Amino acid sequence: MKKFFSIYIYTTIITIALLALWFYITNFTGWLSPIIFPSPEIVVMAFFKALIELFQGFVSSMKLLVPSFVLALILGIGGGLFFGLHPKSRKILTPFFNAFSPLPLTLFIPYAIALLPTFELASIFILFLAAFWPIFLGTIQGVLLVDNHFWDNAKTIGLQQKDLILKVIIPASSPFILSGTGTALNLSFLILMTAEMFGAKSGMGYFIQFYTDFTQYDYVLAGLIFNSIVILLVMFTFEKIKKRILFWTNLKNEAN
Amino acid sequence: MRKRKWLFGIVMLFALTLVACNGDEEKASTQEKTYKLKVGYGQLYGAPLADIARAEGFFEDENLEVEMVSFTSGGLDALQADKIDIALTFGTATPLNYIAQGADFKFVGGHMEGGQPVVTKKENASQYKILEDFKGKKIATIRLGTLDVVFKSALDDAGIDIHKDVDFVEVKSVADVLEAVNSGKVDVGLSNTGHMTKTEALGLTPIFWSNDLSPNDLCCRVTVRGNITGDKAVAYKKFMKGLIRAERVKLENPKKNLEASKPTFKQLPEERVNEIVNEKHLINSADPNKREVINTWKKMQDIGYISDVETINLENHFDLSMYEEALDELIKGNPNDEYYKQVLQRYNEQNLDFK
Repeated sequence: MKKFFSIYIYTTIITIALLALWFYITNFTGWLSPIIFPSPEIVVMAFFKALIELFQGFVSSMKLLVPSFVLALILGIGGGLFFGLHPKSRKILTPFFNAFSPLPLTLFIPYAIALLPTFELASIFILFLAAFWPIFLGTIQGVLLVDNHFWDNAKTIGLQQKDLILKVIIPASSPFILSGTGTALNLSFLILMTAEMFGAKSGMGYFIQFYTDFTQYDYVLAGLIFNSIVILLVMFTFEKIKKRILFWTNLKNEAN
Repeated sequence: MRKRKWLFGIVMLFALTLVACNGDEEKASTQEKTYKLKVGYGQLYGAPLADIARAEGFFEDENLEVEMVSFTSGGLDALQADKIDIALTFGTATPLNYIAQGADFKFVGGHMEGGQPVVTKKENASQYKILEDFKGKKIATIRLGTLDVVFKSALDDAGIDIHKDVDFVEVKSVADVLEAVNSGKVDVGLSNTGHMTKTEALGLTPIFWSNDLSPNDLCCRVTVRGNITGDKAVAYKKFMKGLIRAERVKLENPKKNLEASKPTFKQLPEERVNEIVNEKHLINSADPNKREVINTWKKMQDIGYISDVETINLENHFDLSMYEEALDELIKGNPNDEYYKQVLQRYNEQNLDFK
């Protein structure tokens, strides 16, 4: 705890300094347009006025994010293990993985709307695509980079396929899987705005998109701050879990 | 004898129950069927006429349940995929572009016309008196937006080459247009309805309105798809009836329009909502205005937005029967009301009596 505070005291100081700078520039200089850069007190007022809407947005977004992310985890890790362990299938399909994984997700909106029965499922599909590729590709990478001596030891003690996967491959590749999962989490929040561009009535991304369209920047910034807090809490929790899973690595020494 | 009376009682009770049930059935069969429609709208424009019709109970009067679905993107894709029944506020040029690509969309009514300004910095406003003044200028635009088509077409008509004489910079939203002009990255911007407070606060001003460039410049059309028969046709007629009645409410009582629209615009201040839905250049008309849709189709060909469309018969993409029936019912129901007669006259001028 002491270590936690000794490090984050500086983070807090930087945050306060940035807020003070924002307050000073917007209130005492004419450097920035007050329309695009409203002062912090105006943003705080907007934040509290829209608090209920922001929380409704949080609930709506979680209804999309959680199922898409769980699905991405299951299929990403499952698929990654399969292709990591089957070189021939991997080689055949790698060109597809390379071609499809970097495509911008807005391209898929019309197809998602056309092919899936509801707007919610279409949004979940877009978010699933965002989360799937980093987990899937991270898992393949993790399996390919499992140390040879793990394979040798497993063979020597005659481990069965199931035990080999659960007790050797997954733990050994977990740093890569978790790294991909972290990227997937970040990307999911980034893509929320795209996923909530159609059929949504509320949402964390929808909120920002809605008020950006009306150039109502006090609400846009209030939404950004709210989203940042949520993302921070989610990533903080994820890092805790990651450290617990990767207890044998140097991560445990990282403050969190 | 006592037993018989008892039996007689049971028979009577049974008969009375039957009569009562039959009465209920008759009542139920005379009760009008409920229709449902899913209506998509672009959240930037809201859906003033539909909002008024909902607030005033015009759809309820017709036993029509309307579910509104908002879109920032993908509204017409949702129509194409049958996920919504009506695309309400997605312009005229955009659905025409889908038709040019082979979509089986049909225009059944109207929703918005005019109200879109060309903006520049206040200090530069005096430079722009005629269209020739835009030569050599950098202009921010949103591709396929109503003003994008109207403005480019007006330049084209004035003999200005839109590819060589002016430099169009495409951006994604009105916010981007305003910031591009404000930061001096472009000289003028093709803005949109409902942003005047912000426009003026940024030190910008309108120099032309879409209404000046093209009278009756069309924005949102009531667009549906496929063959319209049976219940769908009845539901669409009921919807159009609600919109025609709502148009009158907006004209006679803009305050009601403001109140009805507020929930759609969430936390936006009242004055902001008012300028979006009651801006004086913005006309909310339920008339299909076939004449101007056909004009827009031609303009889009002139500026090269659509090509090779000779095989497409645009006549097949109108179904005005629902609007006609809706108006007919309103006139029959209100025979002494001059308003609906004027609406009919407008309909005839804009949809039937033109070449």
